[in-house]
Amino acid sequence: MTSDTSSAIGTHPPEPAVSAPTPVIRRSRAAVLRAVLSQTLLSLVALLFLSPIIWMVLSALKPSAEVFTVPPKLFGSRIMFSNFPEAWNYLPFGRFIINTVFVASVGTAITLVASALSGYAFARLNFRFRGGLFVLYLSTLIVPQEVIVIPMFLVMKEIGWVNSYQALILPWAFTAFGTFLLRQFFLTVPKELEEAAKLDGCGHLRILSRIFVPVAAPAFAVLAVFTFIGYWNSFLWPLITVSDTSRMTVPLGLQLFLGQQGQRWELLMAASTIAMVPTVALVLALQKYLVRGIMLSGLGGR
Amino acid sequence: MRTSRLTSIVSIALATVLIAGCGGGDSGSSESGDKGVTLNWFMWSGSDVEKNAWLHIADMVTQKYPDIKIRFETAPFNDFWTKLTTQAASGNAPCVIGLQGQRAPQFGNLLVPLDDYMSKAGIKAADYVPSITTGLQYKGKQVALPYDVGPFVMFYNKDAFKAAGLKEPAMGWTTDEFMSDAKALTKAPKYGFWAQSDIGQLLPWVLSASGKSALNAEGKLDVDTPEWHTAAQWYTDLVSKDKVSAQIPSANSSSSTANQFLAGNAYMSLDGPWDLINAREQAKFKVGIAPMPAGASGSKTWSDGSGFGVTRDCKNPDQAFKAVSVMVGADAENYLGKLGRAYPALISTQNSWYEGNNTQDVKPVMDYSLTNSIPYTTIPKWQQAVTAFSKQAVATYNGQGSVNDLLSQTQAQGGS
Amino acid sequence: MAILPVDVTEVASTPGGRKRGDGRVAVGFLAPSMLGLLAFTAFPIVASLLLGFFDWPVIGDHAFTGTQNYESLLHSSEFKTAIINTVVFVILYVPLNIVISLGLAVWIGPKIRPRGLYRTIFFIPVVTPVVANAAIFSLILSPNGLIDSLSLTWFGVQAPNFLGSTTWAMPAVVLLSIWQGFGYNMLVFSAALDAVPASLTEAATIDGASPSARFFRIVLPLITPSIFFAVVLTLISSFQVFTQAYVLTGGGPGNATTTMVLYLYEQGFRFFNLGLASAIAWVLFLIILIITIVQFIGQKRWVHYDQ
Repeated sequence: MTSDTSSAIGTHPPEPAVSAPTPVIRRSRAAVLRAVLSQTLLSLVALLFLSPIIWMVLSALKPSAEVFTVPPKLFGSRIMFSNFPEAWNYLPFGRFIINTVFVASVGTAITLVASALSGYAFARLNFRFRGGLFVLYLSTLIVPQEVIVIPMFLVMKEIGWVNSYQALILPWAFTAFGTFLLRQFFLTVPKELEEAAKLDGCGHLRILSRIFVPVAAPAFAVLAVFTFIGYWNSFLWPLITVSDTSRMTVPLGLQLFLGQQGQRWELLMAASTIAMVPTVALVLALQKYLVRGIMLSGLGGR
Repeated sequence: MRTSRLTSIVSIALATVLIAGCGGGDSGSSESGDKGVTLNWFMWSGSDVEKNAWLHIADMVTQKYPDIKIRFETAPFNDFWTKLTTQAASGNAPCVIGLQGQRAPQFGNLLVPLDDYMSKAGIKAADYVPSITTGLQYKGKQVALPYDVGPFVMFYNKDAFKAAGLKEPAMGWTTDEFMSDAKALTKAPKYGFWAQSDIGQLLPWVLSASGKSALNAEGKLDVDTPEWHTAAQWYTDLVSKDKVSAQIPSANSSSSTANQFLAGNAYMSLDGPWDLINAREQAKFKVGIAPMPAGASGSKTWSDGSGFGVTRDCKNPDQAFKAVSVMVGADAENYLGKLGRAYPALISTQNSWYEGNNTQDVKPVMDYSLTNSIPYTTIPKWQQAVTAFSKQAVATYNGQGSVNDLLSQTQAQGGS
Repeated sequence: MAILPVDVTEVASTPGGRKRGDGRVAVGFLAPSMLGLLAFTAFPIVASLLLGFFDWPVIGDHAFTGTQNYESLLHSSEFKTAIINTVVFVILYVPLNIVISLGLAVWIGPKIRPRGLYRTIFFIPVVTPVVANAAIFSLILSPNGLIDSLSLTWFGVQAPNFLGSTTWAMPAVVLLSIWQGFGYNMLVFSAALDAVPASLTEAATIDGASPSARFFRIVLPLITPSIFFAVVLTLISSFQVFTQAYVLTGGGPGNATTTMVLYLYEQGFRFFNLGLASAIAWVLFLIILIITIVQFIGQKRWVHYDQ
């Protein structure tokens, strides 16, 4: 599995493979063959891995009664591109996507700000109970969401936030995970960088925003993607707190296709395909930063 | 010292919030403007078409009573009950809610008895199909008024029967005929019948074979009986011995009989008329329905339906009842029936369903099955019982557990 | 959002402030996340702890019952089954997840092109809605589904009824979980591998170390911190497994895939024994806490932080 790749693994991240073609490496055809083989095999594995997704798209193109056809066929008797507009119009699906994008974006933004502040405090400020407080923060990671949903609903009801965007956003915007991740990253920032700023009379807030934030861009990318996905896929909480279609999010909306009267699997598949697009695009766009961010934040390396 | 004081402060604070949370909701309804009220109405729905049908009904209410505005809240059917329970747990139930007959024992406590309101408004229970008015009672009181009803009947694939040279199932057919048809139709991977792990799928067979339901005369769960054993064993054999039905794929919705029947993988399946119109639209073959095949006790089935009730959390019960009376009134029922959204529970409006959807052909079967059906009566711990049942039934039907396991576990969960 | 007490922080952080401690600044910096965590996590946690000592049905009277909920759990055979199922899931899922994600991270090395695309491909199931993933898997795994039909055409053998068999249901849940979950760890390991200094492995190559020796003696020890991180978080999340079993098998057949959180969900959200559900949550919390602590103690034996 590791074959010859390990020699180049260590080269620095963005363009690693450009390590000089030294004579040592220009070995036999066998090595080349092995590389080609490895690449081909990987493509096959990736294809196999994607087959459920491919099946989803294929099912989305079938006529209604043919999703369950036995034996399964790649294509139905007709290719139903019309399933996509139909899924879109079957429900206010555009509305669901706008809601989810809004909730996920605002939630992510708040998470980034709050986590940056607390991460900085734990990494750079000296105060009493810092260690103990940090452990307390971490311990909240262990609590399953299902545990706190009911008391949380009571809180929302008390402050009158049921069926509001705030209720969808705020409860999950203050995560110990974000604090933990950014603290880990901030710890690796050289002290010299901020000492200079300090001599210039900069306060902590300015040090954070002028020095830590730019350097930590990749770590923020990681946190952003993870948080965004968390909001995007959340199901139980939106179900409990949302009471009409005007505030519904995508995962909740998908359930509507499996209703009391007639389950529309082909539309569910079409809608799921549509729902995949924004997040896959986000990951594709931030992919490069993601790996670097994990690496630098000390979660991957040290 | 310090911690104990802290604990007491926290618990007092908590108790205040939790208890306050259970006292009473002000969000179930609210005053709007000087004299009108806005009522929250919580009802399940699927497609936009379905939702719009309910919004239309809400408009009918406001048309009749201009001082009542309806705020429509909705959730997917499968998750509706989770959400309703959460709201109820915090004393925050909406004013008017949808209720299924089989859930009445679970949620009846939440609802205001409507009998006095009905007599004042001159609404007669006798105008509605009796099995569902009974189904929507709680401790002898009417807690919701029905808008639809439907008996569980046998859906069959007319084309498949024709192709196999079989006589179509008709009124008065028997369990033996069902079995021989199912055997003749089965050519794996296509099956004569499609079994499913819900208790509601087994119940009609028990009723037809023995006349026993899931509850005894005292209204307690009573399924660990010889009658249930015999029927459950017979049903299990359909899957694992006679093999006229496929193995049960799992206890979740993907295995729904409706999907398999529509896809042409099974030629008979038990379903309710609420699925008929959709089935006829989607299927590539002709869909017929027949009553339950008659067993030793005749052709018996259950029927269930849904209605609307007024919650105890509602601050304006009078207006809420007015709204409900419109929602299940003749105009609304005609509208829902014509649309195919509901087989009306209001007897005088049932023709709208037949005429609006070209389903006159099934009228004899519907009438016969409704007459020979019992309400889907349940118990407060029904969810415990059916959850245990449907999980264990997958194993038992597939030959990985005994009928005894199935019935004794179900009884244990719902019995105490 | 940025309505922070800017003045306070600026003043307090003048040179020399650090020696006295940054208490006041820290309050400002921690305020947003702390208030948020208190209101939306800590308070509900305490509330659920209290609920665990009550009989708290959805409708009707609430009564303080002391440790009765915990005692009934102790005697419940279903709860024992749920614990065992969860442990089985963890034992199957965590090692497989780590090995597959690490293996793929190594495989998608610098020689593979385009790396970004491959990494994204393996990350895709992480970002698709779970409802959709489970729907697809149930289509594929059912009798007469994709796998069954292919197996019949290619090998002439019927595939097992994965979701409807007490033997295969748990492996099916594990399969779905790994498929949709290992992308996270793969990214973590990719980052760790990219950070291993080239000089170290090159030196070993010159010394004539075989590829596998290079990997196990040099690369692997260097990335143990990230393996530790991944194992800790994967363990926590795998003890909380719920959605996959809920949507794929509904906890059946029998109780074959009823995990602890699924049991909690049934008790809390289907039967509405809020008190009992909270008690389950706290048992789960303690189990995870103990295992996490053990891991942190044990890490000295195998995690190399020195470089």
